[in-house]
Amino acid sequence: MSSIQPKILLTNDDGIESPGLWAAAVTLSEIGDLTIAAPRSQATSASRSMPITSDGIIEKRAIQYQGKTWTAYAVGGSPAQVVIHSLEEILSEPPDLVVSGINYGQNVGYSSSVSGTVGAAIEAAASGIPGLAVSLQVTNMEHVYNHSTSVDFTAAGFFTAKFARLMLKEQLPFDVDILKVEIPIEATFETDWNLVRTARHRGWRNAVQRDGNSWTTPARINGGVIIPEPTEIPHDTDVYTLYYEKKVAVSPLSLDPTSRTKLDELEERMRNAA
Amino acid sequence: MRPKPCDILLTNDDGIDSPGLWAAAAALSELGEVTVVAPRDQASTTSRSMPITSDGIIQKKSICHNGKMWKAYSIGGTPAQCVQHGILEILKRRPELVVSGINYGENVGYSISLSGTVGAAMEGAALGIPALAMSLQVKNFEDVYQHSDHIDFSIAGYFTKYFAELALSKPFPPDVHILKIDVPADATPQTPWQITHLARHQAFEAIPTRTGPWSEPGRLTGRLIPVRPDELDPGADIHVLRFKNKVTVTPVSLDMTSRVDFQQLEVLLRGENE
Repeated sequence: MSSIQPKILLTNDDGIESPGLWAAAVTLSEIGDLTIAAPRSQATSASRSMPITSDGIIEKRAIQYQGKTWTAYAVGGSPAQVVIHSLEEILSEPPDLVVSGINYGQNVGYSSSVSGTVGAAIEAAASGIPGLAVSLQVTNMEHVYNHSTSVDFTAAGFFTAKFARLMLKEQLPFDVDILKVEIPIEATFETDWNLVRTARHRGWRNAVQRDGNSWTTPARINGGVIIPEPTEIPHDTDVYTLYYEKKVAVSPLSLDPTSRTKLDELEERMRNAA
Repeated sequence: MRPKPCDILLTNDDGIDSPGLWAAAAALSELGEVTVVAPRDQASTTSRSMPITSDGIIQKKSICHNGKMWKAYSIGGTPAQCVQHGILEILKRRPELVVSGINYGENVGYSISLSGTVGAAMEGAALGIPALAMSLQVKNFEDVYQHSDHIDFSIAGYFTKYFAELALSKPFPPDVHILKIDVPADATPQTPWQITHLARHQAFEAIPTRTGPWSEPGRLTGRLIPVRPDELDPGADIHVLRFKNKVTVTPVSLDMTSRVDFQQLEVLLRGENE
């Protein structure tokens, strides 16, 4: 690492007051020049969305955390919009790394594309800046929404800084645009990590909870984690590593979701069917 | 080609009043029973988001389009949430196909992960249902947010039916979860189509429109990023759409895992730190 401090932008999807964000701030501030900009409101499951209804208001705040006063920016927008406002307005030059998290709750399998934590990392990567998306497993679903202080982010903060340091030191190979890191709830500093694919698994179940019997009453779609049986899921996946090996699951993600199928064979098959 | 009439769930991100949606409805009704479940409000650039603020209210509507009465459902939610409400509450059985579109404006390159049109298709696919994401190129970027009447969706409707019929006739090969189809603005029924991969190119950029201080609203606007043909792989969606004026068909996977050699990446990450 050069003597000039690397520049790190930190954001999240749980909002600026989330203890997960601040756990990452503490460990990241030791390895670089840190700017913290996060959504003003809870933005869980915001994906990479940029809603046209966001107001984009930026509020500079002085926040007390662990005996230190931190400067942070609360932004009226989704995690991806926070990244845009940071790159275009808050930061005077592009950061070397964008870190998103630490999220309350794992982002594994197909559900990771719903995640605002991952969405912010995708936005950074699309602007050419490596993105690191970090999530801590929770076993009580209520913690996904309520910023419970009973969740301990200490080990997750350690792994956030560990992978941030690696990403600042090494240029990631072609087609690795994001590292997605999932930390088991019982992880310690000694917990091992595995490099694994994201599982071809939904990861999440949904049920509609409606206030009344009529469709014209408001409703929320609640979620719950689906944990597959160990025999149902390949071992080299984030789902298996997190739930059954109880190791940190590190997945390289690409911005290019083109199918791995042979494109010429697909074309021939479709021409023949037409 | 089809043994029996089938159920198709149709949604979009421009909202239930979009002429692009109704062009698709008209074309798809020749193939089976089309249930229209679309956002009550404009939901461009909502990605696969599922905001906790959505009210989930479902209103059953009778809409007259081209002399025919249609049953349709407007939803207080994003395109991905429309798919969930459609499948969890509205449809009696699982549809054979989810179609999203026809969108005002192309969805190509890295910007597809922003698109609510693609987000709805991802949600359908994550529920195990094959999905089409249909978009029509527009020449004037303002038309992305307005439902301009002067946009002619009839050719895009023709291709919607064409690829829906193909998708219904044969299962997708492994790792193909969505067909993303972009139709050139000046296409005719004779316009050829080509299988493409996603361009590794940021096709769209979001820019703050702020003129006042940060404490006042500073919404993001967007623009297409111009690109020269020599900056693009000849098989990439942007190249084929913008410079060959062909219909592009991009098979998309839900699996965002990088194609990198895992052993090499592991060596790089373990490095001397371990």
